[in-house]
Amino acid sequence: MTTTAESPNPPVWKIDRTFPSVFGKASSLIDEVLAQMTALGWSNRDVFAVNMALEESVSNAIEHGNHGNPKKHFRVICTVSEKLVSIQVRDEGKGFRRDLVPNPLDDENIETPSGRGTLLIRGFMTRVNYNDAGNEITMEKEPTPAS
Amino acid sequence: MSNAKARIMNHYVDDAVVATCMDTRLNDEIGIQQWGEELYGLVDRLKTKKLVINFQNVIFMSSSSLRVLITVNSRCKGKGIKLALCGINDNIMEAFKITRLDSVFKIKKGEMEAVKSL
Repeated sequence: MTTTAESPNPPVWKIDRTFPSVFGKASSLIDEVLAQMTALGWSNRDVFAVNMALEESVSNAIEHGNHGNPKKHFRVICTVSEKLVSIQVRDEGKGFRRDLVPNPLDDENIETPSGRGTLLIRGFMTRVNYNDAGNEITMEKEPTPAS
Repeated sequence: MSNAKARIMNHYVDDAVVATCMDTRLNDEIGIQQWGEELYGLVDRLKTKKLVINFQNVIFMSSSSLRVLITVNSRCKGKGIKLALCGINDNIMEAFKITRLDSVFKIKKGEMEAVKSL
């Protein structure tokens, strides 16, 4: 058997689970994703970034998407390879219009307590997209180059 | 975070109160709520005009915990209390920078430096 230093199709670990809208229910999934990243050699900085994105997107799905209704569910699909982490979180809500959300970076909002979850996701992840309805977020993280 | 333990431990350094966060991860909603209540209670009964919050034990903070800090900051302003933060690791500092909260809070590396900055 021969091995190459860089396989064109690195192995991908995948998890796909659905949870009721209760805080803490997805914590074991988050732990599993972070453990996979660590095992594959991702940096502490990138593991933190994905941790933040998972926490914030799950929190948004529960709080803003499903309005904390435990009868409603959210689904998390996540794949992890050496080169890419991809996360999709979908809730049962009606979605939201991002242009109507006050920008917490504006001077008049800078000391307003809420509205920073989405900002943190965008800041920490490489790519972030929403579906048209606004109830599904897809996020990707590539390894941060060593400085 | 467990529900029974204290979320912050307080001690005096000169004329400032230093509140050290005891949790390593500020990410679950119930724990953050309890942490916030302890901080709000501390601000309400504070006898001095200087408060430092030390994050030396904390390795993760979500936006909900940032929300608590913004409220603490607002309450401190209302009571004329000067507030500084310290012990924030590089990853969490990145979150402060992304949200521009590094411009809202006085943030210092070490506890003594934070006390002296007030």
